[in-house]
Amino acid sequence: AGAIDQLRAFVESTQSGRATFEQQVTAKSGRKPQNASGTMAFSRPGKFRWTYDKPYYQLLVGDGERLWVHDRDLNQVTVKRLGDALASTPAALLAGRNELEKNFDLTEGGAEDGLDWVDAKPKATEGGFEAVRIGFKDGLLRGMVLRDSFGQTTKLRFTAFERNPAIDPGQFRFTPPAGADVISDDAKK
Amino acid sequence: CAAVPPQSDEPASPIALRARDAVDPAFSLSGRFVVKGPDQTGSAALDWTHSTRHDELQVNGPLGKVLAQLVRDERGVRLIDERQRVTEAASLDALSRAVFGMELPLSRAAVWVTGRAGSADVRARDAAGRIAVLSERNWRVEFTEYDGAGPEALPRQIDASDGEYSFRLRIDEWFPPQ
Repeated sequence: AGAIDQLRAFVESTQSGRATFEQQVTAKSGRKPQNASGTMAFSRPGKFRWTYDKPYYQLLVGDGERLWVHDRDLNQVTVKRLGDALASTPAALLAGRNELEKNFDLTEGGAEDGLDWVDAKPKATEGGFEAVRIGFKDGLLRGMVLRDSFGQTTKLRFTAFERNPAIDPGQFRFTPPAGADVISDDAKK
Repeated sequence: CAAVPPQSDEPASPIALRARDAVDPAFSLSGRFVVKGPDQTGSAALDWTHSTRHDELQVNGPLGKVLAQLVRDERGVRLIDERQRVTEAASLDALSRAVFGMELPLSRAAVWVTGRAGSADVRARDAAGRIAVLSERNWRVEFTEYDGAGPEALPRQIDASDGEYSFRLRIDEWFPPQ
């Protein structure tokens, strides 16, 4: 099936998901790419948990209303309305209320690295990523490539993808640990 | 500025060597910062490449998305935001509030982050002889963690305050890697 068909079927049939991911961010200036890895889970609509284990621990939780970012080294929690963040994090793309078709123009992106890709061009680039590619294999989400307005590119590879696993709802709630600084990182920054 | 006391000859990282010898050492780092102030708080990731003639500070949000870029080069100093809107200014320091939410002495901080005082006064040193606290005008800068035990180690966490705002920088990686 074409990539767009796989995407639609995936969105239709996947209420929740869980996977491990590898992330590589490459600046336009061609500096050494920065690698990170961790696990992610999502539950539609609007809920996701994105945990970075490497190079350092950082947790992103979308609880349906707000995005919480917890940085343990800095003992820091930032929270902001999910609405603003929704457009800018791929995690939100997965967990959106079928936002994909509404907010993105989808075109076939061809086959590359063994995956079938969808090119998703945001209809309104109000500060989100400028270009998004979503990669499938046998109907399962395997990869994402995100390019921002500076030409910085984030490549994501998902492995051990579980479709519709039972996920404890507590995974999509976040309570700041005692003593952590909680700051609302308002959208305008 | 104050002459640097001779350092021991322990094998040092290329950056530390340059930091010891050059008044204004070139470097490239990757880290995270937190700004706390009466009206402005925020946190993001930072990639900073510095040399005497060129600076590029790039603030990144979650998943590596660039939120803003501050550039100093032969054409001048400018801030580029997420929508590629450009603001020019006379100096990095003048643009620092727009990027970090507070005024930061970036030109002097470029020396401090490598563990050197530059024109600042050294208030305290740690057991390995490295700078622990320095101050300059209303700024107090504490080097709360270093990237190793030796006298040549580079800072890993720096806490700066001007009495009203505080700025914590945690440096995760120095390029080129040791």
